[in-house]
Amino acid sequence: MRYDNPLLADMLATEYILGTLKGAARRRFEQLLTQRADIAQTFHWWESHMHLLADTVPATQPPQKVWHNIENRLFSTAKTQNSSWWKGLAFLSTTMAVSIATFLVIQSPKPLEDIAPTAVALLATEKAEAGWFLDETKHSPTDIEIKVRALTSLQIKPDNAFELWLLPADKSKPISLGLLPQQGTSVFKVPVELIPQMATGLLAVSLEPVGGSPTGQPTGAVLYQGRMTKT
Amino acid sequence: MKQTKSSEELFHLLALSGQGDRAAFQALYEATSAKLFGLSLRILSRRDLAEEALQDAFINIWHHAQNYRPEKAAVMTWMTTIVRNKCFDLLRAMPKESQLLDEQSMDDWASDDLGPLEKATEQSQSKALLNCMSTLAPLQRQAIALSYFHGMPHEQLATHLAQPLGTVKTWIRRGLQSLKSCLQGVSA
Repeated sequence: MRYDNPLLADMLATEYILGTLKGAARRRFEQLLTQRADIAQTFHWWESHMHLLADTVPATQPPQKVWHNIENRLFSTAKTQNSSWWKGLAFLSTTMAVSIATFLVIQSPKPLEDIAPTAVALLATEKAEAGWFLDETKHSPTDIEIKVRALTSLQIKPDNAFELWLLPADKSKPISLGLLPQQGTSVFKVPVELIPQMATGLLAVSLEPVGGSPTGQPTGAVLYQGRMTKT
Repeated sequence: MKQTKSSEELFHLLALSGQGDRAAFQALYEATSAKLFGLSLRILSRRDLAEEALQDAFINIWHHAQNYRPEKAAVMTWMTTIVRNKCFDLLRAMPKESQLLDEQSMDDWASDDLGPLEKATEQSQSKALLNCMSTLAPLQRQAIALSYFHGMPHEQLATHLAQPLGTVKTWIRRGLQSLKSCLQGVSA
């Protein structure tokens, strides 16, 4: 296999760390890291050495306000109304979301096994046009899967991707949950650290270039919104 | 001058942060934020953005502290990766013309004397890295540093260094291979 070439492993690892490995090649390498212990080892070696370059930069004390802001964003219960991009976006009232979601649950066929969804969400537009239905299955408190179903009413955009974001209740930055299918279903596992926030945060879908947001934050219009509601 | 914390101490603080210990998280911030802010400034060249990047990075560090795996990377490596990624996110969101390059620092890497860089280093391993970097050709060093601190694609590097693309790619590749042999020689 061509990955047995140590020079190639070095090259991929260093390009990955430097950031010059992009797109599909980058994702392939990430997958490779989970499959090949030897390549993961090469990668960790490079990571531990290349990031020493950061140690050659002189230390500079950040201003006090940076820590205050961090504390406020993480621990303050008081609402800090910043000019967040989703401010004023709560167009879909919770009651409305719940009523539509309940409707869909009643309409959908009964599950064959007793693994009933523990929470559901409907992602819909301002005009209540439904796009996706999400149902959550809790296998254990730390193992939660969400099945996403694209509804036939969804307006397909072949030249774009729909990216799902979690907007934490504490108003910290949106966290990407991945791309949504435009047809059919897909399943994703909720990262353990996001489980508490999934219950309290808001879900939003933005229109992004194919492959998803290039910046890690929403770049396009937010078209759909919803929240997980316990069944 | 604050005493630098050992990596074991940092690990301890990070592990406690992962369990929700705010005091430990603050201590972790105090021990590492100056170095990481220096890095943000180097990458972004703008104080306001560097502050934003540091802030976002520490929010991330708090949320992901429990996912940290010591067998994969040292605490400082892990935190450096998070800060550098946040900086690049901001850098990419900036219009090309307002992306500033810290020319002075890049000249430091091209110079024959890496003394000024060594002054800033706090870990013995970084001094070893600098020693090995000093065995590379100046332009090779500079290409690696530009790539690391600015996430510069090879094409942009080639323009910046006024060299053909293929040459720059080969420099970096060979430079990193020599670096590896040198570093493995040191630790062997």
